[in-house]
Amino acid sequence: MRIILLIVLIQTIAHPQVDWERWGKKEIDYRKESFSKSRDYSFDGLGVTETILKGALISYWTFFSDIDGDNCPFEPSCSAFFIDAVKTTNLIEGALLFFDRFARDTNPFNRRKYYRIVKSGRFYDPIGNYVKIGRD
Amino acid sequence: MSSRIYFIICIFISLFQQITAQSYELLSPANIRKFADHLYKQEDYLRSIEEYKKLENYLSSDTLLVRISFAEIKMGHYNEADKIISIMSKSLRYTGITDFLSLRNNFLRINHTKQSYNNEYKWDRTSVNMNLWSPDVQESFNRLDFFRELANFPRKDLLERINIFTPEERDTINTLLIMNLDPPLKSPLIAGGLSSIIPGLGKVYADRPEEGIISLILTATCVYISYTNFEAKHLFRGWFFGGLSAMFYVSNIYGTVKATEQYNLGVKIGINNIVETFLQARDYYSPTSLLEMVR
Repeated sequence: MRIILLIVLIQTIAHPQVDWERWGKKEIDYRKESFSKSRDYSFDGLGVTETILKGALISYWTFFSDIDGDNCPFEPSCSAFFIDAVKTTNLIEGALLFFDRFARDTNPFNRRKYYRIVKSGRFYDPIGNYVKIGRD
Repeated sequence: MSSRIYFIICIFISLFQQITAQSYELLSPANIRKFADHLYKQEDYLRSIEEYKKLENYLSSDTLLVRISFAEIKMGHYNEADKIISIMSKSLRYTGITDFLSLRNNFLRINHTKQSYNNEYKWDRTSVNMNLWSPDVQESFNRLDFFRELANFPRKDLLERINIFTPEERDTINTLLIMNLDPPLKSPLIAGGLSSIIPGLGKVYADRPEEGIISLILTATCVYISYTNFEAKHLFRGWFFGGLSAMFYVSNIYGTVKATEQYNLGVKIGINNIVETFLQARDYYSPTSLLEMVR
């Protein structure tokens, strides 16, 4: 009986550690997180022109984007890029940026050397690469 | 009998361990310092600063202030580093270490953010009095100051100051100076002009040949389709594809200018990185007395 008690006591002293998993260094993934902005279907606070454009945009989302699926190799997608470009600059400059982005999207050759890759595997190409955000 | 004694001894040892474990003070200043030094050596600068600031005497300890300022500089927190440097003791200022740290902070601020040190932080080179410093600190200061001038305003007369470096380094520094004076940039105007003549040629000039080829194919295809539709008297389709080809043509010129600006930015960042790699390999020419405080 004493021997058993002694063994139990020694075991208790010798093995205080409960967590047997070694605390090792985690491999950190430094790639940028993917982000997907949620779509805003509302018309609140928009002027006449903006309402018409927003209507066209929602039609595109409903009849083209949702049916086609999430196929763009870039992040943000070309349509989201167009929206960001128009919001940051104006309609004409935004359209020029969009057409240039479309041309780059159709490029089937190696794009890895021009763009960073985010965790979703897409090429990171935001509007900030072309236009200074927050400009006066 | 002997087994009973043995058993009592084991109970006594286990109880002794429990009592001494509870009397051990985990968060004593000595332990906090050890942990902070460990984090600092592991390059976990943010947590090491937190731990150093838990010590009561950190504001009166030059070694701790130097380590904290070093850690802030390493993280790119140049404003916070300036604040820490400003509260260092006078005795440290007389050695020149404070001015050297301030210089290093300003050099990195210029190199990383291209903010001129004159704008906000009023760091005045002429107010520095090097007479009381050791020759080691003076030499280090002059060498790093050369690179600060190179980052802030590269000019040809810096070549006259190259003698402060060792003969083995002068060729490399001469190359770095030439790279800063005459970086291999590309002209956005030429790129835009080339794209206006042949769509996509400007992108080839801006080192994006694949995108140039695709732009040419897209624009040419739209023009061809528009032409054939006009020939077949399909006016709507002709104008539609004509409009598309015009948009691709103009957007290609715009995109080429942006691509050239991106290329130039990449070149400037590359040159900054080369200079910084050169300096990192030499610990930014830090004097021995400073290196002893931060290692």
